[in-house]
Amino acid sequence: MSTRKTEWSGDVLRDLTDGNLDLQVLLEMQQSIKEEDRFETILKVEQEKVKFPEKILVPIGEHLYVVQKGSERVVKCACGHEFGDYRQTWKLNAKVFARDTAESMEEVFRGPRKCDPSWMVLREFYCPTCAALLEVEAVPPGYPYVFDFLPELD
Amino acid sequence: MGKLKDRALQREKDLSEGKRPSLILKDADPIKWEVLYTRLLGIVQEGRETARLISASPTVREFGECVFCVFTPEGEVVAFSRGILLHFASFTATIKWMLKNNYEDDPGIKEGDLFCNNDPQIGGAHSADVATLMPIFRKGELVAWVGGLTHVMEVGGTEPGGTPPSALSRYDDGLMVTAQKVGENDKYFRDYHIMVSRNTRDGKWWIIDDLAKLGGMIKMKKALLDVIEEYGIDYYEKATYEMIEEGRRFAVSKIKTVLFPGTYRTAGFYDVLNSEQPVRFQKDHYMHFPLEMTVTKNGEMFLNYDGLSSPGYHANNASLICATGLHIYQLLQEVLYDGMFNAGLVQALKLNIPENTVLNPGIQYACSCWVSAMVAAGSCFQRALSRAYYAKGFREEGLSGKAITASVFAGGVNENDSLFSIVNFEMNCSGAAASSNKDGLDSANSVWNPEVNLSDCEPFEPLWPLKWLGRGVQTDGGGFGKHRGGASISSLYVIEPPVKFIESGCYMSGDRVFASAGTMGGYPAPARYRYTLVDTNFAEAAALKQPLPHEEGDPANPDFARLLKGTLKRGSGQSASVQFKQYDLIYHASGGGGGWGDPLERSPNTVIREVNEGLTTITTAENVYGVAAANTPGNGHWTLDEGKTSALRNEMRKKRLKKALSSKAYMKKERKNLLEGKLAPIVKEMYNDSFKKSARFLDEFKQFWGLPDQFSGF
Amino acid sequence: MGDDVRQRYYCYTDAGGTFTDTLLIDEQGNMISGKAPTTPASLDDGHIASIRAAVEGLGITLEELLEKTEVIAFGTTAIINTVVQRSGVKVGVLITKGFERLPSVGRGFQNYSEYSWSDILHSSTHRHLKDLVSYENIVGVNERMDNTGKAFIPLYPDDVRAAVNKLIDMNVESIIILFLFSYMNPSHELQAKEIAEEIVNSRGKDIPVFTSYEVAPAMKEVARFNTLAVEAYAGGIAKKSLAKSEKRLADLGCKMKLQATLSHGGMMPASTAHMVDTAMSGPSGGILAGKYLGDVYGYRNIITSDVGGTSFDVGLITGGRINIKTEPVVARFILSAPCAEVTSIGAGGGTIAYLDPFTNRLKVGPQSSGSMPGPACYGNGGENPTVTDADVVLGYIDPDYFLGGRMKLDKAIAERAIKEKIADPLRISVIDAALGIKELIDAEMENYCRSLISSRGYAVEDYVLLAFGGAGPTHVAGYTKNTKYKEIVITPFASVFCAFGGATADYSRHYLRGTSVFIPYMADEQTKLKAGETLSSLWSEMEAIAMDEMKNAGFNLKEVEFEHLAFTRYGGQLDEISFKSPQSRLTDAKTVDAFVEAFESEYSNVFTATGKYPQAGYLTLHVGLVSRVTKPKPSIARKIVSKSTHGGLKGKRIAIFDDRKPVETSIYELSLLSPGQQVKGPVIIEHVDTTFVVPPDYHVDVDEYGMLFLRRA
Repeated sequence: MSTRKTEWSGDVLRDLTDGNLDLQVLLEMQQSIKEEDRFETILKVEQEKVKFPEKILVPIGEHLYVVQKGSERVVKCACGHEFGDYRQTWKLNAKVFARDTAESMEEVFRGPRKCDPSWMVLREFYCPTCAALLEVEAVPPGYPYVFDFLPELD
Repeated sequence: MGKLKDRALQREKDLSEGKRPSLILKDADPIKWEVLYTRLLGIVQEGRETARLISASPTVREFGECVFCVFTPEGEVVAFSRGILLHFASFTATIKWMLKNNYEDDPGIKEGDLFCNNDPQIGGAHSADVATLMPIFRKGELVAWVGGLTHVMEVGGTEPGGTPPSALSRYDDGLMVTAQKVGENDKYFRDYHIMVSRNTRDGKWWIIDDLAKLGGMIKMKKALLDVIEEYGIDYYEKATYEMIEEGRRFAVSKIKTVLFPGTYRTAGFYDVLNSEQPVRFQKDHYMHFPLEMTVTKNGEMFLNYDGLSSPGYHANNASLICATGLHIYQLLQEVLYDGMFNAGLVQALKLNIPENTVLNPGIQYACSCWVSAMVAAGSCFQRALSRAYYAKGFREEGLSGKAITASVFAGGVNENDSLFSIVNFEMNCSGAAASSNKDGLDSANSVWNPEVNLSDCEPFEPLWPLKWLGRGVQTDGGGFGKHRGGASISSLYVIEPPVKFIESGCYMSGDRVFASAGTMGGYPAPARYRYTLVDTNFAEAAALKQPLPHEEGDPANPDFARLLKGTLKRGSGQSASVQFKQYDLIYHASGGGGGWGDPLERSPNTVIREVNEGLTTITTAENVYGVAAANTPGNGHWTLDEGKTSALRNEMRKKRLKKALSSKAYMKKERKNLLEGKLAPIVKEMYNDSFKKSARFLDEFKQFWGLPDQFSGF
Repeated sequence: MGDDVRQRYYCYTDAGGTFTDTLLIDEQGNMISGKAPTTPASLDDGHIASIRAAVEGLGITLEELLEKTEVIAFGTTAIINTVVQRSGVKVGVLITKGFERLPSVGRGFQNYSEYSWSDILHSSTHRHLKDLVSYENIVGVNERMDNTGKAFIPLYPDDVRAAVNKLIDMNVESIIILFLFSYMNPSHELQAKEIAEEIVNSRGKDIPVFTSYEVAPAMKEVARFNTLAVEAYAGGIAKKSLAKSEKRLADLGCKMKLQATLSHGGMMPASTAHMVDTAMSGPSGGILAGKYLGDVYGYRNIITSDVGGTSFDVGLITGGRINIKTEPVVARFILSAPCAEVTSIGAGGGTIAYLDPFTNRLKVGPQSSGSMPGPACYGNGGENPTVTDADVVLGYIDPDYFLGGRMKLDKAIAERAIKEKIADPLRISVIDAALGIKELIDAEMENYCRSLISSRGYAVEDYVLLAFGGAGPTHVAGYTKNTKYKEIVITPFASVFCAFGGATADYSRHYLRGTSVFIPYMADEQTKLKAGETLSSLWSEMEAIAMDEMKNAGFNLKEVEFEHLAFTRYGGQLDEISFKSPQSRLTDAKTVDAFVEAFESEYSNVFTATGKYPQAGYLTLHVGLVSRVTKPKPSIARKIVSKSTHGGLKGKRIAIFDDRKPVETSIYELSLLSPGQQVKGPVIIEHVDTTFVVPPDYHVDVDEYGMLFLRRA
């Protein structure tokens, strides 16, 4: 544990949000005391990164944000694609590909490393615009979408 | 008489009503208070270090699988040593159980008594966790408890190694000592150790560990009484309750600072494939772990397992104490690592684990292989935490799905008629989960102890007739993603030299299902399995200096099957013990960690580096990571083709949208299947069980799929 | 000192991270020291410069000194620096096929070695160490020994040829060979080496080939590999720099061979030593000095405690023997190289005090402000209050006499740092905060000493505590407050104490050999004889090797003594304890029984008799040999005991002790205290490079060697 509260530069935080922070700096960050104002500073960094004008309220996953759009609060992809009201899972408005056969599983998992598609399927959720893979659900056939996160905004 | 019992009950009542001590002593003199805490930490560490030196078992010596504590008279943890931290809740439960069951009257609790417990429903996680507890008296009054726990290598039961996977009920789990008085005047009863040595395959593990714990606790007792003398009993007692309260306050304040408030949901799954095992009830099991984690603005945390599956007649149930301990340990490891380690943390986390579930089973159920159940649950908790960290901006923290942690065990009779029984503990070397900024660590992670350690082969091989032909890192072994999950250790054994008898098996499962899910676009870690090759020509091949297998190679066509004659069998990752003979081969790997983020966003240079280091196959590089590479003829070295790579990645993105359905279309198709009941029987059974357990789950299920009101199951 | 033409000198130099210290000792035991900056690029510059600095005080020329030098020794950490900076040579590896990942996976605990507890617990901070050898330069070879030394896979010579050719094509500068269980049967390793050397020669290359059997024939493949790798990776560089020093000294007229000081506290001619054995030579000095004092005073059990700027280093001498660690962790790598056991925690003058933001609890360390910016009172911009700042605020350290006035400290800044960062937020006075910092760090250090001693199974009451290092004497009363040591001793030459220790070392070398000898409970005659035979033959093999090396090092073989060690455990245990075998040859059942008894009595010492478990039998997995040529030792000057009682009094100042009341405290000059003198606390005894704090209710007795004994009234 570092004893000092470190002020992280904008560049460091940008790399962090890109997921590419230098591993040594990352280690120092992990070992430092967590700052009170991280949320505010990260929000600034994220807002600068995205192209859309709406105000980011909270990042909820890679590429995904809850933003203030007029009176509504909607989920948006970094590419600008809109997934609708944040109180329901964005997955309902994503593109879905289910690996539910041995063949489609084999594309990713070799031989015995596959699961049994009659026990479990992989649901890949893509952004309909930028095609980013946003979530992979590993669930039994017929399992309702998992509503990963409902932020408490008020 | 019964005085402590009443105090314990009163204390529980107070806490449940939110009556907590204010920090009077700390505020009056924070330094004196802090120094006392430092002294207490010194005491538990002294106990642990002593035990580690005396201990018998590799688990304690090499892997530090032991832990020591100081408790309040009611059994709440005041100070906790390093070690298997999941046992946070476990001794507490044992002490409380003894008090509530009027041990003060009968058998009585007096100075110098020693109590042993390895009953997982009362303390520890499985019967391999053997605890010794010692009450500390001052002027005839019980002022504290000290306790030590070690993971013992052999406790009897259906199979060697201490954690039999073919146990179907508690009565198969091994020798159970339930909160029993096993010594007086700081000395164990001789008949107790006779019982142990006659009811386990190799009594030395248990007995020497008992001696080790005693050595540690006698030291702790002396040191603790000195401290109490110095500070005065009144100050000591008040201060310790304040420390527990401070522990709680720390937890609340840190959670508030680093986790975003909201409701988080994850679902984990786990399988037990007993239909293919030589066991009494040859039935498969499919377990469902639905977790809802709520974090409030005031830093309260609530975990709700409403809808959790029923326990079953298999080895993979976990006791409520174990489940509680593991969740707290995980919180400690991922969020509260820089705080005070005591009972206060337990108060900071509210858990709803319904009765008669796989994490809160009735007395009759087996818990020997609890780890898999806790991996499934812990994996859910870990992924929920990672989103809460992520949203708050702490991207340096947060982890994807936890790895299954698995090991090979063996037992039998040596040529000299001595018995052996041991587990290799490579479960210590699973892959760590990926996180938003880095890959998971390869082969250096476990679910219950941060100080993971892999034993060298040289001290281990004399203990059993399994020889490593190779010990590496599983290729493509972690969940794929922008950052990949850590890969597991990967071991190939040959049975050599001959022994009079050898049986061997392994745990844990997670092979019909992916137990270690990915996060935010990352894939789960691969399914698990064990390969065996029997009746081999190993000896001839070696004598003729022919190529020999040393690793798995292509999982679909493994090296050992390619290079040697013999009968290949793919077994479950959790395989009950069966007999082997000289020159049979066993291949086994622990689990990998879940991946994080879209694989097409992984740095192509990293992918190629790992291809050249044999950690990633070129097939995966192309099919999953969309990385194109050229192979330099001759040295087999791959080099990145940047142009082709970006083209390939664009191509793959297009393909994604082409083959994918709109959510609406997909749900329509799925709904049809459900209405037609197109589900495997085992899946129906799993759903029906959760429907019965949770009206809420049933309602949400119906609502999501738009099923008719009268729908109540498959 | 220096005018007598017949005078002989010991010249001992230790190259530390920042400074290279030289200590000259004459035959009467008078000491004079010199300091020069360490010169990492070429250590010989710093080496010569620091000897020069010492000579100045002597009134003779460097040439004259070297001409009169009896023993000249150099302790260097060159090898560690090379490893830490990963600036070694390109190493190629031949390893048992299937174990190519061994170097990168290593032992799990290397991923968090030298971590603080909260970082260990916070396991997503764990990292694999950066490899010394890149994966592409590791080639597997078909072969396999079992744990009894029987080959169940023969060596595939073609594999070796292909591997060596590949490594040469990869332009490796050094080749190492590690096969499993080679310590039980080295034939495969030696065969492979032969083939490798053939190919290297036939291709006209100059690439050294090392085998694990030759460098570290001990059990546990990871430690053995690391040891071998470090020697191959960094050893050559260290050897060169020592050779350079030796050459320059010879040119200046030095007749003696330069000795390299070794981690286990011996020394060997630099030209013959394994460099990996020098890695921990620095810290071993203090414990050697402790051993030496122990011999002078007849103390059998000593705990040495050295409080420096960033770390608290503790060593144990038990039953007159320095605890030897066979698997030290160096630069986070676990090695198999015998090493005087000195363990550390992050606690020292520079250790930072702070408030935990979530609970406002005062925490001290383990982080240090380092030398830059250093404690707030250094005035280099350090904002965090440290232990030294507390010592200044409490009046223990005179801001104008820190390091004998070489460095001026700023008390005002120290007070401000403590006030702003600790006192005000806690709503306590600056004095209370400073005392708190002191008490906490003292408690930490006390815990550490206690648990080190008792985790070895011994009672603190049997130990004499020795305090040295810059801040040792300042805090010794604090970190011994609740422990009843037999005696607490402070040396008048605390700063050069380690250097002095180095000078007391004998010419010696430790050998370790893995084996597997099991003596069952109630063993029959036959089994005992067989066991005795195996052990005896291993000892005689090692004796032969040792004699050879002593001969090459130019020693008179008549003077060589041996110590025969065994590392034994009860069957099934995983940790051996080392003990001295009563006989060097176990020729009959009786001598074997004596051997077993020796183990049992050492075991009961360490773990109390309750830990005994003879039913499990006795398993010996390592045997050791210490070869030694006793070297004339420097003595410490003895002075006439006078009855003067107030020598050295040089003033008074306000200081604050546990009762929190400022008291006017007498200040003494350590060098002016006279033998036989007693001073009653509270007093502060100052010295050029340390400050000795004697609280109320304590007094200090000075003896004829000038040693100070801290005693409670």
